[in-house]
Amino acid sequence: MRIIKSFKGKDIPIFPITLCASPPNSFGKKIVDAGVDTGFGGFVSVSKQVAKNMGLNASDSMRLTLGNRKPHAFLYCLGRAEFGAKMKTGTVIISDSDEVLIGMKFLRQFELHLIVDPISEVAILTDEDPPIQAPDPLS
Amino acid sequence: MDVKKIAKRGEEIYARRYKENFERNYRGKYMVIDITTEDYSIASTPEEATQEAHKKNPKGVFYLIRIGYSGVYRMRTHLTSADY
Repeated sequence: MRIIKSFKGKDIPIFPITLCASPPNSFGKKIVDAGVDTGFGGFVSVSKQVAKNMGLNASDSMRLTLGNRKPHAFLYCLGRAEFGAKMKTGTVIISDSDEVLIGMKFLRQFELHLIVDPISEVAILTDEDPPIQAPDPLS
Repeated sequence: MDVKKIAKRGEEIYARRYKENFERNYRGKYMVIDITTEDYSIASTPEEATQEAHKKNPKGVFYLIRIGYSGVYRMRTHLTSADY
């Protein structure tokens, strides 16, 4: 699988993902546009409005370490995400931002490689062989 | 209950009952504390710890910790309204 998206006029690459509650509820699955945020270590973050539209019942709490290095408490729940032919369960954080974000854990769980060209404003998500090899630590 | 109050109570229980032992033995694992009973569930992933905690007490109020870390994840691009 190799999905190529233009992100002209946007700050970060955006890809459509499918989300639902875990276990699934009567609200069913929703397709949302999610920004790929490599500064976010988690799985998925959604706004309060998206959580409400999906019937996500977030009552558990966790702290995230923010950009100012301070911990801040957020509500979370478990949710299911689909991308390509795969489905994974992970933590869905309810943020006060309007954006839906996917973080590094999402990419790891789905075994996705992210390639970004900020000049032509194109991003690729692929689960094919690694396009970049890790350097030999001794070289 | 307010999210900040859950976190504050969870941190207080963790510091008082578990921190000293768990940071020596379970660093990097995920722990969910039920703040109504002070019981806990530990697992290698936050999903497993959360599911286990809910199974133990479906009516619990839960706080997730990554043992040895100030936050479960980093969100470097995010600030709260209080920071502006």
